[in-house]
Formats: sequence, C-alpha cells, structure tokens
Amino acid sequence: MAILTFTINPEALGKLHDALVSLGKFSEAVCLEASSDRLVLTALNSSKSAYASFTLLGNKFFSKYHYKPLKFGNQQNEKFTCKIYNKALLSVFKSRVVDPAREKDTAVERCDVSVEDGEGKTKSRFIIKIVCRHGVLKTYRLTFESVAPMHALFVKESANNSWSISSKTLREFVEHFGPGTEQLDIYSEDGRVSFTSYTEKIMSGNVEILKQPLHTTIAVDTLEFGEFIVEEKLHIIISVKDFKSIIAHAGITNTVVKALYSRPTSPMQLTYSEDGILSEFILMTIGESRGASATPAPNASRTGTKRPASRQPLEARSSSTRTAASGMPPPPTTAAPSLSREPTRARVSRPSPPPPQPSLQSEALFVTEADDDRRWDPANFDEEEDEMLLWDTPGDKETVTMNSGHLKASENQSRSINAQSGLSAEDGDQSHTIPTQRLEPTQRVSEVCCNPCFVVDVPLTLRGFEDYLTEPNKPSYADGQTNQIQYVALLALALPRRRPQDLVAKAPSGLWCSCLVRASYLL
Amino acid sequence: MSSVVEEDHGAPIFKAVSSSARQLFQLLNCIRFAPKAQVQISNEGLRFAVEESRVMQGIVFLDKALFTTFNCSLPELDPSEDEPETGTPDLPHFSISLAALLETLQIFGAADITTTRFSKPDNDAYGSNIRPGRPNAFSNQALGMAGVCRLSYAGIGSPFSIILEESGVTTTCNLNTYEPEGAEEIPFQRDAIKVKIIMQARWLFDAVSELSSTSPSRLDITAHPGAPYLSLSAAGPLGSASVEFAKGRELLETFTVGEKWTQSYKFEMIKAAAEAMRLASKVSVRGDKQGVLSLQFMVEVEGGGVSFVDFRFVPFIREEDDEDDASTQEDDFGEEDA
Repeated sequence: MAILTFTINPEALGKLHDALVSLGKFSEAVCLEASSDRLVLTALNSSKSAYASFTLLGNKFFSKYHYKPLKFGNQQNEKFTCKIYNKALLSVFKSRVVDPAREKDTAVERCDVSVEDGEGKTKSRFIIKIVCRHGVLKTYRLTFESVAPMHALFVKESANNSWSISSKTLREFVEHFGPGTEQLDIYSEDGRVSFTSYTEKIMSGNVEILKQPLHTTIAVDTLEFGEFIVEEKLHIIISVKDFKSIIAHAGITNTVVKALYSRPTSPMQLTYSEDGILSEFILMTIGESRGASATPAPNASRTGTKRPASRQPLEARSSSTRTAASGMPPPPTTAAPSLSREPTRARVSRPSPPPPQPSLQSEALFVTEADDDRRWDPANFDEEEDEMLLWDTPGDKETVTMNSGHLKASENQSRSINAQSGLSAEDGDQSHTIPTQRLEPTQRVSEVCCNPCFVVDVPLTLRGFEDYLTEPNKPSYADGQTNQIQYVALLALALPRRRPQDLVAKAPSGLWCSCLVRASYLL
Repeated sequence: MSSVVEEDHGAPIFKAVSSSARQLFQLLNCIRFAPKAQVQISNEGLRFAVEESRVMQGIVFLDKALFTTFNCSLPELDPSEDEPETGTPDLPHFSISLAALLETLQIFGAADITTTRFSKPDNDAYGSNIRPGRPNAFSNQALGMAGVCRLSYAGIGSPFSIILEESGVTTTCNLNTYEPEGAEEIPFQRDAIKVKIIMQARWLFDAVSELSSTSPSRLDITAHPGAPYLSLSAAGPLGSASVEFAKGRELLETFTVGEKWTQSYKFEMIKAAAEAMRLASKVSVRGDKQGVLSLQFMVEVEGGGVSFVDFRFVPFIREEDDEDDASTQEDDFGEEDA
C-alpha cells in the first residue's frame, strides 16, 4: 500500500538533487516528513549545531503529489516520517542534471516515487521509478528507517536582528573565506558590516604550535543589503563550514537570503525560497555578549530564578587561545563544542529536577522524542584526535581549548559544593594525577565512551573533581546531577596538564562554571 | 627451445607496424582486469586473452587490419592456419604482463585521462561518460604528430618488443614473455543459446553504472519473451535497484528469447567489462543453456574498421535460499527458477 506517491519532472529532479547535496553536507542521513501538502527533507548535524530543511510544496514542486495517511485503528497518522541514508538517495538522483543536453538517449522523462509501508506482507520501501527515454525503466527500492525527525525550533518573534541579501553577493563573500577557518563573525558598526572568518585551532602537536591562523575580514556597506536591522556592535559567530554549505546551495540561483537572529548563543535562521522549495537553516551561534550587549535583556529578567543568573564572560582561557586570539574577535571556544553547547546542555540538565526548564529559545532548540542515545551523537572526532592523544603528556598544555564560556549555575548549588570540596588552587594538581583506572567500574564511563561531546554545569574546581571521583554517589549530589558530576570528574582527567594555577585562578572558588570539554580525550 | 630461438634469430616471426598506439591501447584497456594476458599470434592478427578465477574471460583480437603492415612468418608449416580460436600449438603462444604492455602503449599519452581506469566513470559520473573514442581537438593525432608503433616478436623465449616513435622520440620496450598458461576457454554452447540480444553498448553501460550505486555483489539478468524483455537487477545494503528495457522493440536491435531466462553473475566482474561497454558501439548479449553469459562488443576504432572484444562469464549457482533475503526483486523470479 502506497502511503505517499509523487511525480517529479526532470527539472525539479535537478533541484531535488541540489537539495540533497546540500543536506549531505550536514548529515549522512536525510529525514523525510510527508504531510498532505508538502514533503519536508531535513538534516541535523551530529553535534546538533546546524539544521537544514527543505520544504517541497506538494502543488508547486511536484507534478503530482498524493499523501494517503496510514490508519492505525481509528487513529490516523497526520504525517509520515522516515530516514534514508543520503548516499542512497544521491546515487539515485545523481547528477542527471548534466546529461540531457549531451546524451539524449538516457535523458530522464519522469520520476515516480512511492513509499510503501505497512503491516504484514507489505514491504516497507522507498520506491523510485525513473522513466527514461526509449522506455528504459530504472527502479530503486531503498530501505528506510522509520523514525521521527528532529526539528530545530526557531522563535521568530524574539529575533530582533535581521538582514537580507542576494545569494550571489553572499557567494562572492564566501569565496574569500579560507579553507582552514572555522568561525565566522558577523559584526556591524557605523553602516559597515564585517564578515570575519578565522580559526582558533592550533596546529596539532608541540612543534607546530601557533601557526598563524588565517583571518579574513570582508567589510560591506549596509546598502548592499536589502534590509538591515541589526543591533550595533553585536558580534554573532557561526560556523564557516555550515555557512559555506548553505551559500553553496543558495548561490545556485539568484535568490534573497534572509537572516534572523537575536543574540549570541541563540540560534540564527537563514531562509530563502524559490519555485516551490522553501529552504531553512538554523545554526547555533556562539560569541560573547560584550560591550553594549553584555547584559542580555532576556537573561536579565531571569535573574531571580534558580538558573544561572547571567552569562558573564568567563576569563578562563587557555594561554594559547589568548595568544591566537589577540587582535581578533575573541570568542574563546573552539567551534564544534561551542556550537553544540546550547542544545546539549538543555538535554543534560533535563533529568535533574532543581534547575528549572530552560526557557531561553536557544535551549528549546531541539524538541524531539529522541531516545537518550541520540543526545550523544559523536561530534567531530577527527578534529579532536590530536588533542585526545595528548592529554597525558606534560608538554602540551596548549592543545586543548578547555574554555569555560560562561558562568552558569545556581548560586545555592555552588555554595553547597564549595562547602564540601574545600576549594583551593593548590589542590588542583592532584586531580590531574588521578589514574584513569579509577573510572573503570562506573557505568558512566561506558556511557561517556559513546558520548564524546557534552556539556555540563558543575563547579570547575579541580579539587571538586577528585571528590566526585572517589564518591560519585554522594547524596548531596544525588539530585539527578550525579551523572553530570561524574562526567566532569572524567573531564578533569581529560584536561591536559595545563598549569593548574591558570585554571583555578580564572575560576575562583565559589564560582560555578560551565565547562565544555570533550570526554573522548579519555578513550 | 633454444634451437627454435636460434632458428628464428634472423627474421622475427612476427612484425607489425601500427600508425598509432592509441587504438591498440583502447582495445587492450578493455580487458585490463587481470595482470597477465595470453597472447597468440596468427596470420590474421594478435589475440589477447585474459581470465580471472576461471569464471571470467576477456578476449581482444587485434585484427591485422589495425596495422599498416602485418608480417607473420610462422616457423612451422601450415601457413593456412587461420583459426586463432582453435589454439593450435603451432601458433606462437606466450603470456605477457598486460599492465606493462598498456603502460608502454600509453607512453606518448595514447590514453586520455578518462580512459585509463575503468573504475573512473563511477567517480565522476557523467563527466567522463562521453564516448572516449572521439578524437580530441588537441590530441596528437589531430595535431599531426601521430607516431608509429612497431611490434615484433622473434620467437619462443625472446621478448615482445615495442618500438614507439613519435615526433622524433623513439622508445624501445622489450617486454618479457612467459610460458603460456594453458587456460581453457569458458565453454559456451553455441548450439544451446537461450538468449540473444543485440543492443547499444551504451545502454548496457548505463544500466550497470546505475546499478553499481547500490554497491551490490550480484547482478541478476533476466530476459523475458514479452515485456519487460530485459531487466538487470541488483540488491545491496541500501536497497535494490533494477533497470528494465521495457520497450524492447526500440531498444533492442535483435531480441531472441524463447522463454524466461534468469541468471546471476558477480557484479564486480560484469563491471570489469564496463570499459568495453563504454567504448563499444554495440553489444551482443548471449546466454546459453547452462547460464554462461557471453558479451561481444563491437568497437569501432578510429580510422575505420571494427574490432571485437569478447567476454564470458560463468554464472552463480542459483539456489532457493539465495532468494530469501529481503530484497523484493529476487522474489519475483526466484521461485520459477529453481
């Protein structure tokens, strides 16, 4: 029984291919979500910091579109969702775009797609029939996984900054961003907008330390923009790679890309549309609230809550980062973990009752019924490897950017911890020397093993880590935060032998820090 | 053996001159799936046979028409022997490294980049898909720099030598020859042919490259007397795919199928013939009672003339349990087959 059937003409086939290529830059798998009038293709990257979605309108994009929902008893499924390995789709819809002109013989005439799913005899397959000239019929039956997609939410109402610009113009900008760069800082002042691409990544190893990272700034007059309503002197930082992927697709046609965002650490939305395809991308932003925008309004209203009162910039930065970042926009964290910070934190803190549900839009970014494993999708392994291998050697302080981005934890929590862990800077060394085997028996380690990237909110005191390690189930930490604490204990081990004074001095006792480390260092 | 060599020292038993190494390269490139080729020289031309694991065989016959001069003074009597297929021991027979031979032939860039590896078309999809035989405006041929390629073989034990001359540069290559391996041909029952289809090789190539996207291990070929006439299908980990030539009359030049015929072959092997599919203009697909598949490719080489490249494949033994996996395709024709 076919749940969904649609027909694509050759022109649209090319566009579908472009969309799939674009989605492929975010994730290996594509989620499809069909409803009565539209088909939505989405992809969420592994660190959950970037989300891409293409909405194909049933009546505009397809030459035929019919969705017949499956019935379970008297309940009807409004939507059909599934997940397909993008490589399979790409090879089906591969660049046939080129060939009609050259090879008339094999030109595609029509493409019929039907999705069959059901109980019993029906096989669940995503069936694509491509009818070529001379009656050559190519049939693909792809397997799919029946899962609900994860969608990123974006609250338009709170996005007070917006600009729009031609995609061709953006494509020209993007060409200038160097291949080694990771972050893109967008900043406006006095009618000029600067797009700065840079990296803070230090070339791995002790030898090559501090290779001058590439740093490109493109300054544009706001007149270039169709619309430009942005808070002055606001630094908003996104990933260059994601931005490039988006523009690579947007730049295919001449369209207008519209960006919407509120402030650093809240998501940014980029949208454009053409011929029945609505493209939407949501990127996590990083950056510090500084200067005029240092005290964010939404946070200010929440000072009374138990949640971390404000996001003050934390000074704890690795020395290397400081050096590298001098003279450039300053965000102290590396791209991958920082981007994932918001959504992941929201997840990590979920099981603990005391911290109130985050109400910031950024933290509500991902709403889904995903199982726990999902939260721990591996992040950029390759990026980490150098660091991972180095944590134990004394010389490589600089290689890990363990930057604590923000202070955040409720004060009462911090007080209780302080009381117990009796912080002092000198004690810091000990935690570094804790042997790893102590970790083995805990179940959490195994969890950590498969969950290389996460964020926790706990006090960043080295002494504290040791305590957690020895008594992971201390009742005082039992309010659902035990996991987190253990993770942090692991994280402490994962830290390279940075001079402890550094770390502690920057994280004075009594303060809670959000620390962001990749636990995969341990493995 | 030594006596033979001495005997032939004066005049090599085989000498041929070709105006370009390119055609030779293109043809031999079709069968580069194995390292060694068995060469047989006859009055009619050179026969190169390559085989893999005794289940796949590729044969290229370089007709003497491809050469501007072709001299073959066979040492033994029987100069009227003109059936190279019979494999008479009288004919000079040796084996040679095919890779080295191809390398030699392309010293002057006989190969354009797209044809050097048959796996290439998968990588850059349709870009390299255009028939490679077409002369390029900047090729040496077009620029009037065509070189000369001389082949000679003195006799058993002596090397196979190739002399390439191109715009004043001469390269002499002597390739060691080895004892021939007594490879038997894959038996193809000409009198029990079940399927005979002649079609454009291009379409077969398209179909095979289409199916390779699912990275399958097996290729099923089914011929029906009625629609959908010919269908190729394959199943891989990501799903299954099939290509049907439904409008048989338009697509298939000759179509002789008595009853439904299904066989499966190792996909990688069929794919090894992809270079021939790309180069050839037509292909004759034949299947016999036992399921042996013969693909005969007609290649129109530059400068006129037609050459043939032959492939033979031994099928998989088809068993019912093979069909049990989840792929839809097999179920359709699995049952009737056993």
